[in-house]
Amino acid sequence: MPLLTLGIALVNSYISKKVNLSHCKAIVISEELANEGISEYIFTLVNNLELRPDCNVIISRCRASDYLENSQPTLESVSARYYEFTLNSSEYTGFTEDVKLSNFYSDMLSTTTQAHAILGGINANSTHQNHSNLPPYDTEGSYKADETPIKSETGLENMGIAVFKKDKLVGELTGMESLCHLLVVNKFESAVISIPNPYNVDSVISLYISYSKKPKTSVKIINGTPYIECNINLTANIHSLDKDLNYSDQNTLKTIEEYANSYLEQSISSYLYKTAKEYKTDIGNFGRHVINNYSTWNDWIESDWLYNYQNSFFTVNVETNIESGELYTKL
Amino acid sequence: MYIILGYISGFLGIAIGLFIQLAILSNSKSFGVAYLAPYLPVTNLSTDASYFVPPMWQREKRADFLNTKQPRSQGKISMKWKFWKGNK
Amino acid sequence: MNSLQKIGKFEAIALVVIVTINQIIFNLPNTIIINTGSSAWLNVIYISIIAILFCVLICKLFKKFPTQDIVDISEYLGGKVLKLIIGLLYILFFIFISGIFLRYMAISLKLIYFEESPIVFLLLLFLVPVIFAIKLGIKSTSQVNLLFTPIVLFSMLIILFSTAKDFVPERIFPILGFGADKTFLIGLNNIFTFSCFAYLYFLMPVLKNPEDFKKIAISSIIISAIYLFLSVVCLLMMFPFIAFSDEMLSVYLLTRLIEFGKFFQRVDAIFIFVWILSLLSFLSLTAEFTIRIFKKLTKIKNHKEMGYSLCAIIFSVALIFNSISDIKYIQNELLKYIVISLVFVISLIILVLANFKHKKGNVA
Repeated sequence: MPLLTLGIALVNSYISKKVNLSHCKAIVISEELANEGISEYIFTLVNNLELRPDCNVIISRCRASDYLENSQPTLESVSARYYEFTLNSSEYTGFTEDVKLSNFYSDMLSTTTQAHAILGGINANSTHQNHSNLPPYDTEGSYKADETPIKSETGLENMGIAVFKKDKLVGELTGMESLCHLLVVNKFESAVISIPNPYNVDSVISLYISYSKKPKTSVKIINGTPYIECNINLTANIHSLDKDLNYSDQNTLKTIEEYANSYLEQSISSYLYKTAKEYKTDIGNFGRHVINNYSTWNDWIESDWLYNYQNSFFTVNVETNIESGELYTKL
Repeated sequence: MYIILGYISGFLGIAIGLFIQLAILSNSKSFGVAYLAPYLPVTNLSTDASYFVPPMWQREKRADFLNTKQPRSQGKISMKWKFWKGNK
Repeated sequence: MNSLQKIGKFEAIALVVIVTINQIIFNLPNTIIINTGSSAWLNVIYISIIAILFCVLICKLFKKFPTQDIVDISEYLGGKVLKLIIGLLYILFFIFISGIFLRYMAISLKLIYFEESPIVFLLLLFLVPVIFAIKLGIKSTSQVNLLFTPIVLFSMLIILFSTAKDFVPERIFPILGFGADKTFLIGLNNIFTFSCFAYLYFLMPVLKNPEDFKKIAISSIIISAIYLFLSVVCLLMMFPFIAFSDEMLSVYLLTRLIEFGKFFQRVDAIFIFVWILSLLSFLSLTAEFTIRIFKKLTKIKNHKEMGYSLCAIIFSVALIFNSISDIKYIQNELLKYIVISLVFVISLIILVLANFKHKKGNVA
């Protein structure tokens, strides 16, 4: 496998200046390479003194060189700020997570959790024909990185999370599943989601959600199988308005709350079971609740939490508190 | 001098120059008083020449590197007229 | 003139504390964590309590011999032969420690900043201020040390508290780490981190007021123990891999993660500057003590000129090691046993026997 440092040496002999990695903002690795295992590259990068530990790690669904060529800032004049803000958009959309190199490295070596990275892709006219066989619009979060129906010439898209097992890529999560991941691990800031409308089967209501209390997770091991319980408390504001509904009525709000609770519980459960049964990796760091029960390191290693995670059962409780709707309820 | 040291070996040279200069300074005396007198050596932290000096109206102890005959510049309550009522 | 130079209370405390701080910078917490796993913090509390008790014992034993250091006591006990042996052992010990730390720092600096310079150059540059300091005597060296020590201590605190937001408290579990026996029984070996006791033994003759010895000893050991504990806890909670891999400067890795918003990033250069200053103080003080022991053993009139040859010896000791793996092996395996046997066992035996002889002498 060719090493990064040798590649940099070749580049140094080609251009007139010396490559210095101290302003590197993001590291892009393609899916194909990630499937084979990237521990060597990550270790080399972490050992490099010039590289800051807080640059982001992105796994791209296309070739990495295409990803970089397509990064043309449309609304920014300075490309450094473009990268900063593009990668931080997860704070207000919740569709991906801000994963830094230090986080990735420590998760890769940790015994309580596994690593994950940002999923990126190109969303351009040229790639639209690859996804013509997708189902029609489901929800805004059901897409991965280069699937959203946006009309653009060129452009990057960071949506979803790439799930690793040790250092190999094993799966990808869509936008909604990334939002569920953020909700469970207490990294969620705020986002707009859509829930099915209880009064009108064909339409959706959009809610702006954020935490009201920190989420609580507890793990009990009974007979060797883990039982994981998550309690999440959210506050929501209704963003979309319908002329038929009365948003000041207690019953309406209660119904919408119940629908929101069950919708979120279902999404979070399906995300958790997907990581446990299909991908068999624990990216939510549930191992940290289990490690308290062991008194020596050898006991902990023998219990092999990372392998045992696939047998776990989940219970999710979501409590949403809808504050009022917007300013106008009736015109 | 520090420029030359910095040219030779960067931060290391400047640190070395700083160390040597401070060592020479702390060894030298002027008129019998050490050069870095009120700050090093640290003997009495409540005199009126030390790291944190109190405001003017609270300075009562003389600096000890002067080897004065009396350590306090005035009596214990210097502004007697302030606290005594009536005629003295 | 130099034998009449005395140092005050705060300077003595700073002297002893800077020894432990230097050891923290040069990867000592890493040695503890590798041996005991995630229970390193329990281990540090345990050995700190033992070190404080040991310190109280040493103060009691030294009470009968004011203004005498351990070489004088061994002369009182066993005559010139014992004095020569103990003096030589301590000289070798100090030279050895100086050589190791010097080489370690030079290699680390070479990796970080001076990749193209030959290491001989860096070693020589470090030894130049040491020669100056020896010529100027212990008073000015300890005063410069007193100036730098609070800066070093404050910088350590900044490192520890600005990375606090990224702590992961679950990393201090499992509680007993690699096992209760490794934490408490074999972990007793980790008392080698308090090798500052060797400096306490030689502190008596240079103090202005020998009555302050007890206060100085206890406060310096407490400060060293607090800093050791804080650094071990911080390293343990930040990095999950530190118990299993060998880094060069673990605390440097901590400084790379300090970030105050978008403006203050990568402030590690300031800390390197401060650590260079602390290493210079440490080397000067060690060399000064070595020359004092040498003066007691021989009859040289102008022993300040010995500074040149001493620095040459330290330089050659620093060059003995071929690579970093030699130094790491010595730090992790050999240094433990050397420090424990010399500083704790042999010196304690000498002090106890000398006290017995003193009592017998008084009774008879």
